Amino acid sequence: MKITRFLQLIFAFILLFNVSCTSDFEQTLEPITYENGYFITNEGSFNKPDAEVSFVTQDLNFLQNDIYKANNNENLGDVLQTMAFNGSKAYLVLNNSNAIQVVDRVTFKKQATVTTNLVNPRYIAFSGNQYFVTNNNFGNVIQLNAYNVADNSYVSNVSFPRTAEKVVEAGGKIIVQTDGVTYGPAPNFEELPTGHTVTIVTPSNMSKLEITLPSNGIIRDLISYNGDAYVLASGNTNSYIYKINSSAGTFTTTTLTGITKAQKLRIDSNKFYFNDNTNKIYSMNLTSTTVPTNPLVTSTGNAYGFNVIDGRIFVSDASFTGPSKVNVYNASNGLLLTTFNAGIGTNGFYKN
Amino acid sequence: MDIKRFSALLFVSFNFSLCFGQEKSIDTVYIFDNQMNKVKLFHKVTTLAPADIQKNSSNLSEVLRFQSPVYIKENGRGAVSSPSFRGTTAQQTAFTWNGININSQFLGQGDVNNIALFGYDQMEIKSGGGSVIYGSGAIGGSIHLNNDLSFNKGFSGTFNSEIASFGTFNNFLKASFSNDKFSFKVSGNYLISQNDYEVPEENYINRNGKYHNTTYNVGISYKIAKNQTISWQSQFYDATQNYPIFTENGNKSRYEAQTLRSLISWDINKSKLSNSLKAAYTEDNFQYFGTYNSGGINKNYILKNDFNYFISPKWNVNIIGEFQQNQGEGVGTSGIGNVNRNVGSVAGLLRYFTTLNLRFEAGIKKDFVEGFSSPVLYSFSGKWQATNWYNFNLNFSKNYRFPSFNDLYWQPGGNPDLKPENSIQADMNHEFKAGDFKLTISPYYIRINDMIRWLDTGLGYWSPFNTNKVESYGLESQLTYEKQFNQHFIKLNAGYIYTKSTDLETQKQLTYVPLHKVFGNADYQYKFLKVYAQGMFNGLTYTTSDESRKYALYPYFVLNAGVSATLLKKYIVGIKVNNITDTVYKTVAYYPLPKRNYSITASINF
Repeated sequence: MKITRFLQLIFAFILLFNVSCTSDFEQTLEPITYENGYFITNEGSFNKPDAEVSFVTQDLNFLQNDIYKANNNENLGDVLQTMAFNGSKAYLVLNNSNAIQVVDRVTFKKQATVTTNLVNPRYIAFSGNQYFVTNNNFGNVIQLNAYNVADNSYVSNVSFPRTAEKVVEAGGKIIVQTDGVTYGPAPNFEELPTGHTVTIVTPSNMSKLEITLPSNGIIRDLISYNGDAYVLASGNTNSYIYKINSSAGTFTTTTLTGITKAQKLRIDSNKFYFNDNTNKIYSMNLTSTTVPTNPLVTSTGNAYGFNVIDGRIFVSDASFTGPSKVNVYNASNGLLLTTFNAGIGTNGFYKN
Repeated sequence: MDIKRFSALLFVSFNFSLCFGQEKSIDTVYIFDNQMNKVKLFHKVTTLAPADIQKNSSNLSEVLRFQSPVYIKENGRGAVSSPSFRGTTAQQTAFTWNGININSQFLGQGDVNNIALFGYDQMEIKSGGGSVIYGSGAIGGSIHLNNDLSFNKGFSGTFNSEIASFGTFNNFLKASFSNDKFSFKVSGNYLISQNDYEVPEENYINRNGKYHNTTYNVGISYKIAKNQTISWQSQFYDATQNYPIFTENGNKSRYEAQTLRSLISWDINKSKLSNSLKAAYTEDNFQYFGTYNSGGINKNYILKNDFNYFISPKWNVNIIGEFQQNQGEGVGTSGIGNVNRNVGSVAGLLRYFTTLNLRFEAGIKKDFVEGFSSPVLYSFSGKWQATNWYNFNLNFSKNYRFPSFNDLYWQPGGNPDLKPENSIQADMNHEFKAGDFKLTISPYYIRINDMIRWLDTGLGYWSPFNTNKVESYGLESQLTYEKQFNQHFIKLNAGYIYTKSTDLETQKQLTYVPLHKVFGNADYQYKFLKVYAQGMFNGLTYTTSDESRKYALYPYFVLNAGVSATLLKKYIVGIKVNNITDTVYKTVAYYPLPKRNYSITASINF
């Protein structure tokens, strides 16, 4: 009959397309261990569990993407904000999943999932047998949570009035970035400081000591190196590095005269590395007061992720609609060493 | 190359012969969207009746997915959903309600699952540009939600109740009354779904997926004099949607929307002259509850006059003037504050009915928008019935989209210097008839310039810029078959769509635009028994801008079917089985849609 012939035709047509299109994407990763190289965090897109971790070997010759799913057969989560290490474990902080996945840093197999009292977690730091996580939902929760390393049990928290962003350990204290950037109401949306504080938290009793830095510029970054914390602040004319004495609650200032809007700060082999909003990357000695006049290199793209490890500068040109591009430069002369594609929204580089 | 030369070329290529081409107006039904019948003279429009809509009663996304060429991106059943026509984006699809553009002034697009589904008398789906008549955003195509009012039909009513999988309950009541002067129609609908479906293959549970909505529609038409009517149509819609989360501890969010649309129209219809004066008020309120709470209120005051005059039986002129005030108030983190804009526009259309088998239309439109300059829009169409088994239609147009309130005013990032997006496009429709078969083949080409895209400013926020250029071409084809013999009635409708849509900067296919889509609907009726089946095949669909197969959605085929029986002429009972093949499929990465599911329906007509 006519109709059955017609239906046959339709189904034949459909079949044709099914055949002409290949079946599912098959990705099999060679099983390896991850002790000698760098982890790369890809935060993924907001409201999708497509955050992932990439790994590249120390010689930069071998890359594996999506190592969490490959080793755990599940999606990592939604917005991988940061990664940190303690002992044999790596901690993956997932902002929009309200979770921390704890994995073995060599096999990348999942060990535990932490969710207790996590509300939009941001960054993590370790001190003694505890770890500390900043949480900020830009609403009623702006706090630092403390957990026990041994069993991931929740201990307590301490709140802050305006923001809780970066957190580091220095000299047995926890230092929290408690001010950052906000924006003016009209175009061009002028950048404004929320305030100028960092807060020192004593792990044993969670007591707070607030340090008010000079009201120059906006606090952009906070790092820790050899037992000291360093704060980067910047404005439209100069940038500043503050070295924090965490036991005394005092600080010393290095003014980066003429460096405008510095964004990120790292230290590698006793050298500061920082970039500005036009992606110029500068370096200067830790003890120097001479401000560099020429950038080491200008990176391409949006410099979303930035780190300096083992004399190499890692910078990402993050894409949120596809894989991000990673450029690796020689930290002494700025020469491009290699380029490769990582995951969606590459935001950080970590030495394992 | 301009329109004049183009049209001149077309004119000389055809023979002129004299004949009357004037369309007779039917005065027993009042249609609010008075342009739709004229649009149908030149364009292919797919019309879905309420019975077709009932087949996919979960939400508007399903209706469009299974019964139209549109690709629907749905973040889980019933959640955020957006359409794509001919390889364009959601913002380049216009939704109109009784002729009025209802795309959100904040988003510039229609949120498909927050548009009421029930109570329309027709849903019309038109591919291709239509900005001259339907305004901003009618670039890829337009979806028309229309009501009409009939006269001399007496009293009638329908009550429909449905119970479906995932705790879904849907009730719809409609009543109408009309005599020779007065017509009244009212309908109400309540839909609730726990929507907690599971897809074990993907280790997915649709957590926090519950949605419910209430719709009321009311329409009145009164013949105040011979050839004159005053008509009023309103819609009230109240919806709550929860957005699915992937893990129990994820950030839950919820969206609530309250929509009011009201339209009053004074129509004069004489043999040579017709005029429709409309005043409308539309209001969209929404609240988003999540990590950040935000919301908005958008009020639009619209005044529109549509004047149509036959200078001679062959020449018809149509002038449409419109004034709108769009008011927006952003609440919460958007920081938009209070904004408003005045939009005035004048459009002129000239139609020439050369013979009964040959007709042309040329249109021009200019908008006067506060704050930025808007391009002159134009359209040209010709239709030729070459033989009784073949007709041919050609369309050429320039269309546009305004930047939305979010594009202009979002804090931080909104860019007040944005220009409207604009597009040039051409399409052809070839329609063949053979016996009870009808085949339409429509190749098209669209080029979009100054497309608005949000980019990272490097200062911690994103801003929109007129950077993108997109070229889209492809083919829409549709085969229909309708036959009645004895007490058997058969209707088949199958479409195949090929879409190549390229970002001209990256030379890659746009995300969420499948190269191939096939959809088919079959209806069979014997006496009191009705059977239908719907099938949809969706080809490989990229979800990232680099055409990565790693992140792509792989081809799938989904089949739905249903059977219903009419008892004692008044009662209808039916069963539907959706996704019979138990296919695991997604329209957005990571958000699978339900596997096999069921529903039972019962209706009473009185």
